[in-house]
Amino acid sequence: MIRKSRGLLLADFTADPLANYINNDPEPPIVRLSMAPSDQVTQILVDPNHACWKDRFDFAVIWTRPESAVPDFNRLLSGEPAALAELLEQVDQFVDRIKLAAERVPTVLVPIWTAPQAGRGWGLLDLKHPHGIAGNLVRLNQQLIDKLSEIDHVYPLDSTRWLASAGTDSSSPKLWYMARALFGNRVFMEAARDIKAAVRSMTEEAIKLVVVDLDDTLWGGILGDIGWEKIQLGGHDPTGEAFVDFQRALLTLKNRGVILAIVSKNDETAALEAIQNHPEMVMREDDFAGWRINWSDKADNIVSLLNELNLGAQSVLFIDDSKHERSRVRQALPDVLVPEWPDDRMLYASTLRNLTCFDTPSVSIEDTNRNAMYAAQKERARLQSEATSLGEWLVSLETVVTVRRLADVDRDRTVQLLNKTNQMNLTTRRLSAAEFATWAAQPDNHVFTLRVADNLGDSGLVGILTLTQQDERGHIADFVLSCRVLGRRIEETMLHLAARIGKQLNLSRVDLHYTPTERNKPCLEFLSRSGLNSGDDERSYVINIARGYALPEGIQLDESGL
Amino acid sequence: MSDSEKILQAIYGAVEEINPQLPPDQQLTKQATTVLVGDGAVLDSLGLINLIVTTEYQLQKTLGLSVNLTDPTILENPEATIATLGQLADTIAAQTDGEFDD
Repeated sequence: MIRKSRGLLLADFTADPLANYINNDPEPPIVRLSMAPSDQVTQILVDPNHACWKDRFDFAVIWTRPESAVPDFNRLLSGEPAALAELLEQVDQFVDRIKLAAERVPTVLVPIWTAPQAGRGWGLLDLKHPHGIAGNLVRLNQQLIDKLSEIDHVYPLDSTRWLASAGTDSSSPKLWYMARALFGNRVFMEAARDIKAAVRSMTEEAIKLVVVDLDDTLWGGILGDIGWEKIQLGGHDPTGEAFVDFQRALLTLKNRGVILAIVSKNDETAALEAIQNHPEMVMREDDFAGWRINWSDKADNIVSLLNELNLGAQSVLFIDDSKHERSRVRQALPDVLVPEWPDDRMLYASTLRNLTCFDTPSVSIEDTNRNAMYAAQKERARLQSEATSLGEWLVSLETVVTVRRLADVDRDRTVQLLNKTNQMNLTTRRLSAAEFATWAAQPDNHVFTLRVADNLGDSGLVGILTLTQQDERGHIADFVLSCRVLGRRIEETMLHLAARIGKQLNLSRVDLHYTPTERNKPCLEFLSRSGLNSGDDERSYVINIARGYALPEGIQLDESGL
Repeated sequence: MSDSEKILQAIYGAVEEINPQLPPDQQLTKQATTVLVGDGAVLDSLGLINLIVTTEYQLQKTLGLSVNLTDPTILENPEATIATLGQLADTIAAQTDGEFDD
């Protein structure tokens, strides 16, 4: 059954169209956004017993007008002076009320303020004059953003982008006077898109890999026909500049932790020569974690790349100028995200930059280091191909697994891993940060994190082992391991650790019960070959504490943090 | 295509724009007989206002027509002016008689 995310919308103007846009959207994640009574934002925020809070929500959207959230802003709208210190103090008071909401829902989204009814304000002086409306609105929004950013799981949203996108349709005096609808349809549509993206980022895996075609995608022209010296790239040609800008947009994603790869029907030698030698190429060979440049089916090539990179199809975005190739990949790999791509090459960069699939609620060190990790992964694969046995290869890596009880500094990454890992995940339990914190605080629940490093690099925090203690029995609640370290015997190390922890807690056995999902079959396959005894049914396994579980050869364990 | 038909097409454009932001039971079918006011009407007041304002935008955008559909002579007697999509088109045609560019 598809889980619905439930949200509460608090607004001090008519915002029903926003709720309806979101509720009518059949694309996953399915979201049900309920409207709180309008014009009662403050009352609802400060009253924990208000009827609105009786239902359990996954998120809240709090969208206000500056003149209602910051009373002295009305003075500015009336052309009267208002003290900046007082205005900022009123912003802080508003943020204090948001904090109350953040205690009741796991995630709070707050569009920053706009004032479409203010028009040109003081005109030429509107940004410069101490009582200018636009200038003060910038200051209030800066204070709002700074203060909201200090609160965990509260996210300011850029509503100015929604208004810019709607253009002259962003607001209408008629809608305001007749229906108290502050914005036009387009603004609500853009807001709905961003709010859905925010919910998606909290419930689904973000895109980790972008696979691009080459001819007429990364550059203009058919390389095999014209040679790399003649491809359309940069120069004094508008379309060539557009391809350069598209490459820059891809590189920006790489710097944010998205990995890049190529799948192209081309001659590999000629393509790599173009990438290395063309003076206007922004991206070079090192920017790609892998490539399949040959004449084979692109869907097969993507599968081959995913196997090499240990990634699932749901974390991939495929970009190709050919609608036939897009159609083929969609049909063969429905989990791969294949956006419609414009025919106009000058729209490539803006199309990429406006995709919502890269949104994440947090950015961990592991995210930003992902490219370096995959470079190390490539080197591991090379060493593995040269080693005579798996054991020899693993020993040569000198892997160190560091385990420790959950530390505050690891909370965000732990929640991220818990909610984003699909393949090696025993129960696929999804919890918000607040829910996880509540669970972890229970005395019988134990949370351990694993970091993995070897002589090729540090993979960071990649594993979670959680256990609930019931008398002499332990139950593994989460057995989660990032796909980036699968197949390096970290899975077996986690079983060894579960046995060690069980002994420390004076347990006689630790049970693992596998909960199937569409994507976690690798976990069951691992358990079935782990040598553990089966439990009460074919999905249950038991670690006998007296017997223990052997630490795999070649793994060095640092358990000083246990 | 007659002026009324062109106007009706612009109204259908407005219907397409507002349907995604209406609850499913208020969404409109693109037919001249679709009821907007009175027995059989599905839109609430917010939906009706949104349709009217969006229709004004559509008329300006697609036909270059500037009309004021919130004029009291229209809204004070809606059963006689905007009871259906077809009647809305007729009301607009009467208001814009002779204003078409072509």
